Amino acid sequence: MSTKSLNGASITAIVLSILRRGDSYGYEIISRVRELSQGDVEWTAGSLYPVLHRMKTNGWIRDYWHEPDGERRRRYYAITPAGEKALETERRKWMTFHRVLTTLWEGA
Amino acid sequence: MADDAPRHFDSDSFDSNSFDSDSFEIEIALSTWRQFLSRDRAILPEDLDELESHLRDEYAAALAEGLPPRKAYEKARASTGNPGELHTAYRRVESEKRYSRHGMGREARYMSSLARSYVTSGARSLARSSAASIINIVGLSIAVACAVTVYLFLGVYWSLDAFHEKGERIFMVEHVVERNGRMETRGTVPEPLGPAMAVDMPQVLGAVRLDHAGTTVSNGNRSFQERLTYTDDGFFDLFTFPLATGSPDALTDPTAVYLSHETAQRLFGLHDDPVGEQLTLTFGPSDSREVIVAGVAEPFPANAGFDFSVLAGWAARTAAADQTAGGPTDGEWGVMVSGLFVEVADASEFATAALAGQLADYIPRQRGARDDYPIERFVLDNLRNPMPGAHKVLFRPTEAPHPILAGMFVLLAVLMMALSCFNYINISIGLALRRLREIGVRKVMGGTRGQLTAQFMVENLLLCFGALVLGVAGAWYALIPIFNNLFVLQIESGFFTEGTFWLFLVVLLLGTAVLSGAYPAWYVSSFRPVSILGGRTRLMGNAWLTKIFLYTQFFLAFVTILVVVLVAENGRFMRALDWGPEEASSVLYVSVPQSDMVTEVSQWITARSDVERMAGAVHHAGRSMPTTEIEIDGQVLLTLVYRVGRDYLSVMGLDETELTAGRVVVNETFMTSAGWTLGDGHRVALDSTTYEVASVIPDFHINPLSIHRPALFVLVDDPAAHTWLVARAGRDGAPAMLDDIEARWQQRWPATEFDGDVQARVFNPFLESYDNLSKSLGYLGALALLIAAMGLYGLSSQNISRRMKEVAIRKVLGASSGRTLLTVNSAWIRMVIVTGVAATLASLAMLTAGYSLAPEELLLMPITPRPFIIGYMTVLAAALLAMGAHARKVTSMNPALILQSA
Repeated sequence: MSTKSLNGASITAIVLSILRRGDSYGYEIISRVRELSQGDVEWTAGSLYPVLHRMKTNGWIRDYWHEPDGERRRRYYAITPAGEKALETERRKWMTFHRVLTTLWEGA
Repeated sequence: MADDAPRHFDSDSFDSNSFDSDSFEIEIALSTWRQFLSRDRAILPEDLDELESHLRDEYAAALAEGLPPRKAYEKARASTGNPGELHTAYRRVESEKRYSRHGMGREARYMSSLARSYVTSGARSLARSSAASIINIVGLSIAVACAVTVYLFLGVYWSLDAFHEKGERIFMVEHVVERNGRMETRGTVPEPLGPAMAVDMPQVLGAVRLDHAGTTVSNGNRSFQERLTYTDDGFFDLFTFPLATGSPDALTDPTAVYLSHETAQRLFGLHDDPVGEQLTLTFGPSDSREVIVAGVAEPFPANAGFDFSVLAGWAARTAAADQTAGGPTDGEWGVMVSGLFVEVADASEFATAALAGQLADYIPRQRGARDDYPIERFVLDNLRNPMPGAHKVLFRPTEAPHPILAGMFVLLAVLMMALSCFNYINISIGLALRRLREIGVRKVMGGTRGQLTAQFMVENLLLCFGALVLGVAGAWYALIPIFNNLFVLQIESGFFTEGTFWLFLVVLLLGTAVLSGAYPAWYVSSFRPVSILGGRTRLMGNAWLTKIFLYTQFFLAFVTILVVVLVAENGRFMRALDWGPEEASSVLYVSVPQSDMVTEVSQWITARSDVERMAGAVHHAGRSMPTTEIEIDGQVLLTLVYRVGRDYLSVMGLDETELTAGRVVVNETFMTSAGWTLGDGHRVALDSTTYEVASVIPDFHINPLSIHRPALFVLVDDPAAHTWLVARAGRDGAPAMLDDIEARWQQRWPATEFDGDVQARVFNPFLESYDNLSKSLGYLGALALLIAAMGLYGLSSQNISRRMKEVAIRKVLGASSGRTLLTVNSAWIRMVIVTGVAATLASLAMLTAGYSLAPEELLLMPITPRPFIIGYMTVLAAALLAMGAHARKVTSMNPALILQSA
């Protein structure tokens, strides 16, 4: 059901929201989104990682390599204070869209 | 081939699935995928690591869902994104980043990413075939250890005496003389030549003579037999032997001596400064002198071709000559001294040739003094750059490198390198054949031939690097200590700081990598993907080169093993030889360097009730080598002249009659060499006295390697002159008596080492060090054989897996497993037989050639088939074991399954 354009617009907000709940790595993020959307949103590595890297360049997230006990070494991402601010902006933007659309659809 | 690769889905150990269409290797797939992406400059190595980690997670999840591995991988790859998508996505971010701070040094990072990618997949591929990699690394490292040791040895050997700063201008004066119809060059010179040259010839800046004498040096109750070197005043000025303590200008003082670092330690212990201390030098029963230590030298460099342990001025020699009438005198042209070094102003070829010509002026003076020893001419021989044939000069005052010895060491190193490289090539090609599918995939995905070659060479370089590290460690911990144990010449530890050593290692690394990797790399990269993936590549089609390598390798392994067995057999042969008379086990000998020791030890021995007889001697058979030239009817006979006490021969069981004054006893070889027969009343001239030959005794062991050399015994009756005591104990009493004397010795002279044993064991130290050599060689041989067997194991296992279907058909048609195994391995069995015969013939040829070159008196082991049979059986057993290791696969296979899969 998801379209590419919507994906592109929502991906930053979703990633920042997931990271606000705790540090995570690419595969886990994709799995989490799949889980929450009950399989409707399916990101590929090619779509996620470049976005992560751009967010890093923007200073919203930082990355570090970490190897938890009994697991493979992976690149983890964590949200930065700048990221928190960006998320807040995103949240307001999405809430506005949400309000507008809900009102419109209710009226229909 | 033994393979410890993680095989997730096939439990079968080696191969049958390597080439069938259902096999799938996740690691190969991953590294192929990774290498392909690594060519994309938009994706940095770190990103690639992240993507790979992601792919692995996807793959694990897909497997968990129950998908078969190939399907799981395909799904994982699809959800990770195909290379095109990834490229576009990353490219977009990259172009945004280009001008940001993260974009700096991107090109450099790309290059390092490429290199890292090669190294990563190289390391993975090595880990995948760890057993083969271990064989390769161990094999190469043995060769590297040999090469490193030989390099270091030659470094010392070819630079003998190079540390003397004036070396280029120092020449030894040697002379040519006719002996027994042959021209010989000898390093000795008439005594007055040096001073005469210094006075007569302006181009001679300095002349320093050397002469040696045996002496016993004592400090209180510490006594040692040492070689005393007399020299001229200019010694420390001419040679670079710096002093640790003391001043170098005391050589004019006849009571001054200089000690080497080692001698000073022995006489004075580690920490004392011995300068100014008094020592006693004992030359004979009535000749002992008090001297003062004037200095101690720094430890000598390892490449010192000559040095000294106790050094005294020429004045001391003159003083000694005045004391003992008939001893050495100064200024006589008839007296030869050990050596003469001159420093010349102009070392050019022209100037030295002129100087050598001028030396002819002295010849009449020498001939006038010695008409029995007329010198033909004098020659000059440079200290740093020995003249051609310098190793053949007799009595050369310093050692000259022997080209044959050096050549043998180089040959050994080259052989070992060749053996390991052959082996490496065989195993690599074997592995490559197993990686056909990977290679096919790489090629299909756009891997160029150059890329494949590069990949292979990087793997190879990694492996060679591992071998280099291991090899240097092996040389350091094993080979160099063994070498230093066996040889007088020592390899010192300082080489790690030398630039040339590191350069050598780099050259060795690159050389090994290219030698061992070039052919396999070319071979692998030449596969054609379509035929590989279609299963149509003929695996061993052009493997004739592989075959040649294997033949060569087995030939070398055979030769090595035969050499090992021959050396071990020779040890057995030497051990089985008796010292001589059977009384040897009841005779004991003790070294007594000082005359008061002689008296005391004699008293201990005679006090024992079980002693039968006792005698003293200046030289002891089995330990001393008192070589002397004796002239008989105009022929010079190099004879061992033992000066012994009255009862020496009877105690030793060599002759029952007592030795008397004016008479000598000779051995059989002396008689035959002189051309004499028994009972003719022959006479021998020795030290200007004529002796009558009293009796002839059978030949005995002169040293561990020779029996048949002329020997002569002459009486020295004065016990004070004796330095050895021999005693015959009653039945089986010798060991007990020896223990008793040794215990008393250690109480009486704790600082002087006890040197004595039962005569039957007189050669034991030699035999033990020989056994050590033989054992070290044995390890080397075992390793060579192991490497060759591993190579064979690998090739034969490939061979079997390739012919599984054929084997199945044979079994279906009713052939027994054993018979099938034989058929499949027939090519290798043929090879073992052919190389074995060739190696036997080659070794036999080498042995006979060696025997014909060996000096006549050397004791040689008779050539029997035994060592060859043992050697042949050993290699055959190893080869059969290597091939038989696959027996289970053939016996336990189910023909139906194999044929079905077709």
